[in-house]
Amino acid sequence: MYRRLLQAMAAHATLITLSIVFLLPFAWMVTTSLKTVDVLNAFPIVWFPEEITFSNYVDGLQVFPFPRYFLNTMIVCAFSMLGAVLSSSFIAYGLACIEWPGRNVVFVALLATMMIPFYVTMVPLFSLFREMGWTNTYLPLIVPHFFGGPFFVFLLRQFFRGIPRDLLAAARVDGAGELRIYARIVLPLAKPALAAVALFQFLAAWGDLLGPLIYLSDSDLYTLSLGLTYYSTQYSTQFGPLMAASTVILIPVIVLFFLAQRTFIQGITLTGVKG
Amino acid sequence: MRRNVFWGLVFTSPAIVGLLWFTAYPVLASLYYSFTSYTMVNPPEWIGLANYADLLTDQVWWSSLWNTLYIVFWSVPLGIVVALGLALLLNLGVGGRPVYRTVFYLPTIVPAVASGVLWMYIFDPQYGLLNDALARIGVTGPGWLSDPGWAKPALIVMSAWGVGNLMVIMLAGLQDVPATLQEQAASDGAGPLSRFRHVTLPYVSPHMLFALVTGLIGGFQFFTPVFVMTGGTGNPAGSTLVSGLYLYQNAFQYFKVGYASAIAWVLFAIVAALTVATFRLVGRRVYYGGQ
Amino acid sequence: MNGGARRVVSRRAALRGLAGAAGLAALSGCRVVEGGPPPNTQGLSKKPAPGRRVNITFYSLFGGVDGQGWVELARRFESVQDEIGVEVVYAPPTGQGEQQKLLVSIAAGDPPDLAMVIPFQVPQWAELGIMTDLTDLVRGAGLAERDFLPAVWQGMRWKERVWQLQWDVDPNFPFYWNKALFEECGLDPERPPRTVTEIDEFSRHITQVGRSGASRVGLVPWQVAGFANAAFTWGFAFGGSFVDPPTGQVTPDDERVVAAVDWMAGYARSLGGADRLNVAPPTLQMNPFGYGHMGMAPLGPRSVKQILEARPDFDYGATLLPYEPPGASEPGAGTWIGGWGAFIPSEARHPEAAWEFLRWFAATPEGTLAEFETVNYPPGYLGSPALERMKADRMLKPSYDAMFAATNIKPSLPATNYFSQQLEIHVARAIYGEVTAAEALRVVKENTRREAERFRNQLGL
Repeated sequence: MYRRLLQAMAAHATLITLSIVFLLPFAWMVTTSLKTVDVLNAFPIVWFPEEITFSNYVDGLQVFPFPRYFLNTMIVCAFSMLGAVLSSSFIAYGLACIEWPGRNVVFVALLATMMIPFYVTMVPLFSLFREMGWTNTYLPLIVPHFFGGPFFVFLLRQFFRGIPRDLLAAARVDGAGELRIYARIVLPLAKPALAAVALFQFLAAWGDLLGPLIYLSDSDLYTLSLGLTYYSTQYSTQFGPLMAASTVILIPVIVLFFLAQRTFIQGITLTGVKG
Repeated sequence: MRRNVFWGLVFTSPAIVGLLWFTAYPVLASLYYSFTSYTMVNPPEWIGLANYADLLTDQVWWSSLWNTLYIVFWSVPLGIVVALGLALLLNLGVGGRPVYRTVFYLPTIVPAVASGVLWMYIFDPQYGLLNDALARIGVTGPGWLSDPGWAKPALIVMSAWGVGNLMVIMLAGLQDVPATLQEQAASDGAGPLSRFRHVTLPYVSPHMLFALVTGLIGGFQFFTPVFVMTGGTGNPAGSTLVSGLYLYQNAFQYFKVGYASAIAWVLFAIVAALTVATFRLVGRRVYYGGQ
Repeated sequence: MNGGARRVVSRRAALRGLAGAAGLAALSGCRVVEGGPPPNTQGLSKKPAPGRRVNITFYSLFGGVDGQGWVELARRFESVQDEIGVEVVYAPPTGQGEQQKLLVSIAAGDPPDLAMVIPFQVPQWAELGIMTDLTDLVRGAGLAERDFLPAVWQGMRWKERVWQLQWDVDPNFPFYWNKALFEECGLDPERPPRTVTEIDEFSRHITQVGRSGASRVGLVPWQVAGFANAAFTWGFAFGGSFVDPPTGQVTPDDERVVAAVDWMAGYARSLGGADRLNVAPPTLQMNPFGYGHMGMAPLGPRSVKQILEARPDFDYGATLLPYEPPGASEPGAGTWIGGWGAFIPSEARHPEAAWEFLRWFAATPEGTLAEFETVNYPPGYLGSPALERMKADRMLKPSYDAMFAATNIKPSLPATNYFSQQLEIHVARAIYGEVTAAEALRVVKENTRREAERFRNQLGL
C-alpha cells in the first residue's frame, strides 16, 4: 500500500520537474506577450513582469486580418489532413498487410524520395504546378497529400505490421474482401496511429511558411504563418504583439492535441484477439 | 498470388500515381541539375562530373559534413531515448496524464521564432539560465552558442526538447504491448528492467526502427535551428555550418543550384547507405507483433 | 464517464472567465497597464486601383510599418496619374533575407514587374541575366551621375550599365556616444573620439572588467550587424580596400583590413574574450547601446529611435565614424552606403509601366518625398526635398552627414554573397582568438577567389 503511494509520488515528482522544463518555451511566450516594451527592454531580464498589459493582444491581432487568415489556414489544414489520413493508411495497407512481390519496390521508392532535400526540387515543383495552373490556389498545398506522404506511410506501415496475421487470414477465410478488411479491421485497430498522422499533418500545414509564400500571391488567400511575419520590419521585431498572436494561434492547436491525445492511448487491445 | 498483386497495386496506386505525377519530375530534374552549371535562372549547361569533383576539394563541404555527422550521431539516439522515456513515464498509471502529455508536447508546437529568443536567454554565457544554474553548483559554464566547441552540443540539447512527435508515436506504440504479457512476466518474477527488455522493447521496436530511419533522413537535412540560433551564418567559426545549410546557401545565395543538387545527391547516397545498413543490422531484430 | 457529462460553457461564462484572468493577474500582484499606441492596420498588400490602362505587380518584402508605407506609397502613385495601377504583393524574405518567392518566380519565368535588390548583389544578378538594363531609360529620363550620391550611383551600375535605382540610402555608420557615461568616466561629454587610437584611449577610461566579464565597455567593435559588416566598417575606417578595381579580385588580406581585424581581435582580448560581455542582455528590441553600459557605438538612426522610445532622456551625441591614419585621413572615411534598390526583372510583362513607378519613387522630387513620408527611408536622389528634411531633423541629421561623407560601397562582385559569408565565419574566428587576423583573411581571399573563378567559368564569362 505504502509502496504504491511512494511510487505514485515519485512518478509525480519526476513528471512535475520535467513539466517545468518543458513548459519553459510556452511560459516564455505567454509572459512575453503580456510585457510592455519597457519590461521587454529591461536589464537584467524580467522573467515575470510586475506590470502586465493586454494591449499586445488587442492591438496585435489587428495587424493582419486574423479571422480570414485563420479560416484560410483551417481550410488547408483540414483538407491536407483528410488527404494524408486516407491515402497514407490506404497505401500502408498495401505495403504491410498484403504479401506481394512489388511491395518493397514501392516502399523503397517512397523512402528514397524523403532523402532528397526539398530545396533542390522546389523550383521544378513550382514550375510543374504553374504549368497546371495551380499557382495562387490551395491545390499545391492540398492535392499532393491525397497521394501519400512517405513519412506517414512508413509510420503506418510499422503499426499495421503489428496487427496479427491470423486475424487478417481469418477474415479472408471468412470471405471478407481486402477493402472490407482495411476499413473494418485495420483502420479501427490503428486509431492511435491514424490520430498521430492527422495531428502531424495538421501541425505541418499550420506552421508551413514556405509553401503558402511561394504558391500564393493574393493576400486574401494568405495563412497565419504569413501573418506572423507582419510584425518584423527590416530593423526590428515587435515581440510583444508577435508573441500575443503566436499564443492565440497556438490555442486551437493545444485544444486539438488535448482532445486527440486520448486517442493515442486507446490500445489496439490485442490481448482479446490473441487470447 | 495474382490476386495479391492486384490488390497490392490497388492499395499502393495512390503512391504510384503520386510518385509519377508530383515527385518523378522534380527529383529527376535535380539529378540532372547536379551534372550541370544550373543557376536557377539560366538554362542548365552540361558539365559532367565537375560539381562532384569540386566537392572533393571543397573544405567548407567537408567541414559541413563533419558537423552534420556529429549532430546526427548524438541527436538521433538522444531523441529516441528521451521520447521513449517520456512515453514510458506517461504510460504509468498516474493521475493527470492528459495534462502532462500536453505539456511535454508544447515545445514541439511553440513557433521557432518564439522559442529561439528563449534559447538565446538560456544559452547566453553571462545571463543564461543554464550557466546561472551551473554557477550555483560551482561550475563555470562555457560560451555555448558563441563557443565553437560547445555550439553543436547546445543544438543537440535543443533538439531533445522538441521530441513531441516521436513521443506521441512511442506512446501509441506502447499501447500495443499486451497487458496480459506484462502481468504474466511480473508474476514470473521478472523485475521492471527485465520486463522492459523482454516485453516492452520488442513491441516498440518497429517504432524505434521508424524513429531511427526518419531521424537519419531528417538529420541530414537539418538546418532550421541553425537559422534560428546563428542567423544562418553557421557561426561560431563555422561550427554549426551543416550540410543542409550549405546546400541552401549554394542554391539561394550563391545561385549554384547545380552544385547544391550535387550536394543533395551525395547526401542522398550517404543516407541511403546508412538506411540500408540500419535495415540490415536493426531491421531483423525488430519484432512485428503480427508475424 | 466516457462521453458522458459534457460541460457547456456559455458565452457569458466565457467572458467572465476572461475578465477573471485579468482579475487574477491583478490579484497575483501584477498591475495591468495600457500598452503603446494603436497599430496601423493598413495591411501589407493591395490590389491595383480599378480602371487603369495597365496594372503592374510589385513584390514588397517589408513587414511592419515599412510594408504599410509601401502600400500607401503605391496609392499615392495611383493618385498622381491615372494610367498605371499597382498591385503590391507582400512577399517576406526568409532565412538570411533570401527572396525565395521572387527567385522562384523568376526561375519559372513568371516574375513581378518590379522587385527589390540589395545594391551589392547587382553584379551577381546582372551577370545572371535577371535584371533589365535600365541604362537607356535612365538616359532618356535625363538622369545622370550628378543626380545621385556618388556611392549610390556606383552601386546602381555594373560594367558601365545601370541596373537598378537605389531609393534607400543606409549610411553605415554614424557614430554615437553616451554623454552621461562619458562624464561619469571623467571624459569630456562634448568631445567624441576622432580616430581609432582615441577610441582605445577613451575605452581605457570606460571599460571595467570584473570576474564575470566586462560590466562596462568603451565599444564593441564587432557588434555592427554581423562580423562581415564589422570587417567592412573598420576595414574602410583603417583605409583598407576589399577589391582590386582593375582585376576585380577580392583583397581581404589588404594590410589595412588585416590591421582593422587585428584591432578588433585585440579589443576582444582586452575584455578577456569576445563573449565576456556583461553590458546588455541578448537583445530583443533595443540596441545594446541603449542599456547605458557602452560608451560608443556605430549605429543607424532606427536603432537610436528605438532607444529613445524606451529611454526618452537618453543623452547621446552623434558624429562621423572615427578613422585611423595613415590609411585614412578624416572622420567618416570608413562610412559605406548600404540600403535598397529596385529593379525590373528581365521577363517582366510591363517594363515601361514599372519604370514609370520606379522612376517616380526613386528619382523625382515629388516621388522621393512621397517615399520619405510613407516608407520613410532616406533617398539617394540629390534632387529630393526629403534631404532638407533630414538635415533639419535631430534624429536623422547624423545619417545625413554620414551619407555625404561616405565614399565606399560594400564590395560588389559576382561572388559577393560567398565573400560576405566567408568573412562572417573567418573574421569571427579571428575575433574569438582562434586564428590570427592575417591567417583568417588569407583563407577568405583564397576561398573567394576560387569561388569567383568558378562562377565565371560556369557562366562562361
